[in-house]
Amino acid sequence: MANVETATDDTFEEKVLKSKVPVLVDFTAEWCGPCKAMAPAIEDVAREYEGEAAVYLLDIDANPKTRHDQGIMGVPTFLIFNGGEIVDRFTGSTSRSKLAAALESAIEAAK
Amino acid sequence: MTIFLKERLLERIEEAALQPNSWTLPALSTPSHELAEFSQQYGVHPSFLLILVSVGGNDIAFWRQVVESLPYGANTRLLIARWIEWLWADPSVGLRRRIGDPDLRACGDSIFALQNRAAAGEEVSRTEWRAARGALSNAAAKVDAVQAGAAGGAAAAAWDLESVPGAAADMIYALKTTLFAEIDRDLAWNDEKEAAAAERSEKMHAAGLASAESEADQSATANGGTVDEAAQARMRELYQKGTQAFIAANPSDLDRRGELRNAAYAEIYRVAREGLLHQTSRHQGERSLAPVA
Repeated sequence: MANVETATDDTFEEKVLKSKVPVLVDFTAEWCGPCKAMAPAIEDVAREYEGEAAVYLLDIDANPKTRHDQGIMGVPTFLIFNGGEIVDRFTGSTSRSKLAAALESAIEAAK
Repeated sequence: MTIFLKERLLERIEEAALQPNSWTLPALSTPSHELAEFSQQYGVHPSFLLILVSVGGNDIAFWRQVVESLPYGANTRLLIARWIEWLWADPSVGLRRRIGDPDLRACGDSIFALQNRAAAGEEVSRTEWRAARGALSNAAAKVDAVQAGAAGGAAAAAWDLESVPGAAADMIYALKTTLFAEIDRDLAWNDEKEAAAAERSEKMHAAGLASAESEADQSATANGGTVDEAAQARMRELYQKGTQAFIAANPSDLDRRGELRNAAYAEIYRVAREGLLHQTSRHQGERSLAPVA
């Protein structure tokens, strides 16, 4: 996951909630196989929308506060934020095209 | 792919055959940078490698069959562009035939037209890809689950394979979504049946556990609280027997969905594999294919 940055409990507010562009957060865990299977798709989405949206990984085990605050019940979970608000949520594996469509809607809405 | 690289890849496959479970060949869980290194090392396009990994798994014979059928100088990037178009448009197995809505079909077709342009070396801008994806997404929102699932195949392919090589492999996921949607439509599956099936599944699980319990107790008693490997194997067998006995005593149409889904999985891999072999054999002797740089 070379081109995807991480967010943590300490940086979540600054990187995600106060972001000026829409943000996709991939809530993940070291032990999660489906999360690893989704990794190439997340990399692709990050590359495709570089400069227009931000993409972060967040390890739920290392960041329990954010996991609790955002009501994450399982991984992978994908949240899309726009202006600090959740505008879309996907639980479980999903396709890169669905994530892209949701992120594109958020980008359009943010314009 | 040059003669040299093809021979090297075949050697690697033979090495994997001698050492099963050795991770000699990449798998779906292989990190993307390692997949990129592997594809570079053997001169195959990453999109081709990802399809091979997705449908080949650890079936060495299939890997061997595909690689042996590759013509020297094959452009594996172009081969995959043809594979995805085939999976979309083939009149007998293609996703397109499951879409009755003419607008949605046209949106899907326009994506494969972009793929053909890109495969021919023409630049397709991000804006064009996004516009095509957006139009498809809007059209797919107006149709039933089967047609929307089939349109997912076009959505999966709506990326430049140079920057998003995994997109082609996502078409397999779209095929699964479509076949599962067809099963649910044919069985008139609804929330009520879903809840009943979940309840039945719990009862089956309980029957399996009850069947395996005595074996676990015996082994734990004999081994000071731990269950040895042989006992675990017997427990798995007894668990299976327990669930089968439950099914035999409580037959239900609810199990039909699982049976059909298993059959669908088999069909997905059969179709995807046959399609890949069809494309490689089609290219044998095609002198027009440009060598991979």
